[in-house]
Amino acid sequence: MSQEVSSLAQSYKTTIEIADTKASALKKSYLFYILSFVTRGLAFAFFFPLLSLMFSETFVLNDALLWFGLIVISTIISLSFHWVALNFNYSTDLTDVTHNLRVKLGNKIKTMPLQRLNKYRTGELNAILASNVDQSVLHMGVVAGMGLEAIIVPFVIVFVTFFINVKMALAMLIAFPLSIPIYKWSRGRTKQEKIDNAKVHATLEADTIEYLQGLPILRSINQVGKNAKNLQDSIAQAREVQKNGVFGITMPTVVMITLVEFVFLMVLSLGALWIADATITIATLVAILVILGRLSEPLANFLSITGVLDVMETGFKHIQGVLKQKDLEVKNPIKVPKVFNIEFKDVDFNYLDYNNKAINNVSFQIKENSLTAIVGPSGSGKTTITKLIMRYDDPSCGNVEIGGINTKNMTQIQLMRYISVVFQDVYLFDDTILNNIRMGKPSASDDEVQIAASKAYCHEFITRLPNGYETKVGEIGGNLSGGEKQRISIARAILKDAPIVILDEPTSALDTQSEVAVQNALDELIQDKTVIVIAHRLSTISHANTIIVMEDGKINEQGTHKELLDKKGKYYDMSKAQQRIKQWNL
Amino acid sequence: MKKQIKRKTGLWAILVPVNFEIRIAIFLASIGAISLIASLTLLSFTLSNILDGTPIKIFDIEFDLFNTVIALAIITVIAFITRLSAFIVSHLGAFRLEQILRTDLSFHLSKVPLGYIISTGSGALKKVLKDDVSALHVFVADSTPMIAKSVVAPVFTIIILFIVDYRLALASIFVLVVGGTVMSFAMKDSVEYRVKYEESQTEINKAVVEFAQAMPVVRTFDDGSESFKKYNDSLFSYRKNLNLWMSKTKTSAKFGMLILTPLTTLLAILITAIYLLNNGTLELSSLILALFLSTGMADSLMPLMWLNNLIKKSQAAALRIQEIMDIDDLPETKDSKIPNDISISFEKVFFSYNKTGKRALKDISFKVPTKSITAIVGPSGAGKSTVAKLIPRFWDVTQGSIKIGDIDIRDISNDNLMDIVSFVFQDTFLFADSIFNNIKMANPNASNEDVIEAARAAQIHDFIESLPNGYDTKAGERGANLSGGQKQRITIARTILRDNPIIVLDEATAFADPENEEEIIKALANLMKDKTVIVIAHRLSTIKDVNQIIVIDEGKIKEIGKHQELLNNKQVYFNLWSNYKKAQKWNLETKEAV
Repeated sequence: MSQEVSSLAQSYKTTIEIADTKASALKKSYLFYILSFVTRGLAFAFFFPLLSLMFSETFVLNDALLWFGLIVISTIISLSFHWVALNFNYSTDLTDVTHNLRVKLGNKIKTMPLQRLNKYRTGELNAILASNVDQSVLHMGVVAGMGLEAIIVPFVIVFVTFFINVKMALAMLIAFPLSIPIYKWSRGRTKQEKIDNAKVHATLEADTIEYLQGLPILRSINQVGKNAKNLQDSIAQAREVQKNGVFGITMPTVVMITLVEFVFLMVLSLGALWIADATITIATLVAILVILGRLSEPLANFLSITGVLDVMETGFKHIQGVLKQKDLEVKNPIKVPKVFNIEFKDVDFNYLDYNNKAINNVSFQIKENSLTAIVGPSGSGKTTITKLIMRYDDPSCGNVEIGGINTKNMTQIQLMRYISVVFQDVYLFDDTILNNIRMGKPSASDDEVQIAASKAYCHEFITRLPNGYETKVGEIGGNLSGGEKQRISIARAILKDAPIVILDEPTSALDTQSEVAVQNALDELIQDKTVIVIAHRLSTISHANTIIVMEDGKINEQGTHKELLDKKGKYYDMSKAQQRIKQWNL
Repeated sequence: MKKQIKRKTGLWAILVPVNFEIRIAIFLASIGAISLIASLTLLSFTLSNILDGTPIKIFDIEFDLFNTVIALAIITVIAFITRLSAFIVSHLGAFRLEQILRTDLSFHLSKVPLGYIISTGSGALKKVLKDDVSALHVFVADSTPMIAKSVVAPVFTIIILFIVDYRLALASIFVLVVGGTVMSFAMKDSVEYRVKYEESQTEINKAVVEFAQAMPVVRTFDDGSESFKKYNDSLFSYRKNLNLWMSKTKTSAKFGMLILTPLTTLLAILITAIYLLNNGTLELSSLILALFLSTGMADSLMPLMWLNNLIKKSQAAALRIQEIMDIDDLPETKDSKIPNDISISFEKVFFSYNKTGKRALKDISFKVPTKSITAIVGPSGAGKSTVAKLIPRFWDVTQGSIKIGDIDIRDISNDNLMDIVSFVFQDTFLFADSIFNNIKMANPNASNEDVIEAARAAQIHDFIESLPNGYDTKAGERGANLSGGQKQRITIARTILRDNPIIVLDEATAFADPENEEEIIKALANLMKDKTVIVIAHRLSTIKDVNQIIVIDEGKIKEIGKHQELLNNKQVYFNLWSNYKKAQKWNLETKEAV
């Protein structure tokens, strides 16, 4: 029992927390709900004298009208309070709560370390920002109203009944203690069901995906349809598990529905006994039975309310999970670099949930306006280095400095102003091409955008599009080829004109035709910049000022192309292997 | 027009297999609901007769209070049992329906063109197989008892009330009618606003996805303000539309909600009763009955709305299921023929992905002699992979024909065709099973030595041996962490073991994993030994020595010939080649380079 109370109290606390600045409006609504349901309980309580009168031999119109009038008045008061309480559900306060919550979430996503953000799948974030917010907020008024009704109305009725007939009040009380263990039992059962169900459905989901993805192969070896044993088994299994649980699912619901009838029966039996020894009149019994019928609906609602409460609370838990993420710390004093050399000083870095260091005691210097290439097998820490320059998250040890200033002493926005990145996968926004390029410099004029586009070798194909620069990209880039998208992203970087340029295998995903154009665009971008490039094809970086060869999170060797070849180390081996592949012929 | 008719029949048509359970469940639930009404009716008469001092008699049993209690107890037990059985029957029906639909869908999907599955995507199909089917489960399991409660019970109540006392019946209906009318006004007005609200909800979804996905880019490029603006805009429009919808509906919705509280119905009955009592024309039994039963009607309205919602939701799910079931099977010949050799020929092939869409391939004709290698080249989007995917019949040609030897591939049964053609595309797929079984599945009759031999040829044997569990290591999504190249080579081993005479290959496969290029290349070389090969080529250097190069652009064949011949032509291939050469020579360099 105390557990239930505490969980309801918890729900209340949570709700107030969500409401935040609008909490007072919400509290006001709750208060009016309470007032409404107390008066409603009173209205029902007045049924006793009225019905007793109507069922007695001595019906007096004026007395009846008096009681009826009292019922009408308390009903009107109750409904008016209810009306005021309901206002919150339709108020701008409620929509403001959703709005503010989403703004807060959006800000958090903007400022939390990318590493933390990447822990969330896009679908998850979508669920949190879109549906969870709705779930936790939009129903908080209605659900609270239903919950309060289920508790307060019966309470007031029983309370008033005590003054009319103690025995009958006691009889009514039977319903409540009974409903709690049943309610608990049903929750417990459904929880177990949920676990079993979740398990079998997870298997079913995995097998379904496997079947669908594997269909080309499965078909070629005739393992489809009823021969797809895994899938058919887990389909059957899902039915089996649910079948075994059918009692657990249906029983509590049915018991809960029937509970009220059971109480009805109990009260009736007791009433019959008491009438026999003339402790109460038949008129009172009828009145009590009529009112008892009224308790049934709120009680039955109780089960469904707790379901919604669960949904609300899980929703809010997810929301809070995001809101509680720490922002990247910005240390005082905030400093502004004058030059753009980059230095790593004894840097260690661990990814979340990984034991091994992705970067282990790495130190190097990159001169301003030089070209530095980072090479090495995947997982060796190449990309991690570039991520740390952008403050994807902070190193566990050591410092990253730009122009002699620790990146922690810069605001995120300031730091990002110094860096342009060209990724392997280009992300274009569902907006016009013009605006996609202009992102690089929001204040840029149309002319400036076009100049950048020309430099990135995309002016020509853009003008050939149906609406030219005004063409909408479509959510994932629509019909643009990989090379065209890449050039748009380079135009964006050219327009931004940041002193540091990071290239992360920018041409590896392209077909030959696009490659040349993208290469030309890159040539434009990197002039007079501090450039860091992650490259797989070693031939493209042979002119770099420095090549850093990474292995297992450490710097294996570094130097110019020639120096490294002469050294006959790791770089030499990689280079030879690539030359062999070039000779390959079908 | 046609679609609309389908929409109406969709849900019920799909439920046909479990009609039996649904009917039984509704029947049982109705008995439960009616028996309760009956018990309350009996009770009202008993009580009023006790008040009058003249107990009623049914079948010679005198219904004093004690007998009534016993009767009520029996009826309550009956109601409990029928309800429980109704729930159980409907749930069992729901479970059965799930299995039927999932099995049917999985069978059907094994017969539709593979192209459909690939272009629809396993994610979308999974949603139908799992989530949409589950939605129907909910409908069958929960709606049937609901129908009894929200339809059968109120109808019976009204009938009985009218029989007992039409004036009280009218009084109790009066409130319902007023409330219902007001509510329906709220609904009617709101549709347009609700649609707008739902649209802005979708907007938010889109904005969130973009905002979250693009965060790395957002942070480097626009300090967040631009894309955040979009997200923000969607929030503002959401709030505006929600407010608008609420303000339009709020008065009537609130009014309806309040008037439909049971209290108002009871008030109407009471005042009518007081008036009638005063006139002396009211039977006490009728009053008790009306007080017991009338509020049940108001209570049934909410579930009714809920039911309506559920039907709508289920209908959408049913429609998506039916859409899949409506896809035509890939036609399968009854009289499968065996080709006389393993050459391939395209004869005036035209192809479009959908009946009205533009042609992806136009008038493609070429021949690939037995055990020769043909490369298909062209810019991206030219139709290279379409040509390749027509050979294993991912789709059927729209016009013309593709032959293996002298036989049209449509005259070869699917099983036979799959014994002739193997394909290796970039997307690898391993099953949640041991590596050994993942390879062996290609040929269940293969010996252990055969499997290991295939793994050797695919350059993956040593790696597998190096794993702690060797060949028993679990693979697949839920298995070991294999790199793209390792997975690729396991699938190549599978194809080698399969040993089909025709190989359709995407050359990009070789470069899926830069670190293992060398191994994959060797594996592919072993795979192609003594086979008829069609390869989609990206790196032109690799195809210098193939028997035949087909240059495709905009769905048409531009040139066919050998490398040197095509270079001499100085046309499309020549341009591709010089571009390729240029790209290979490129070197990153800044002016400032020291």
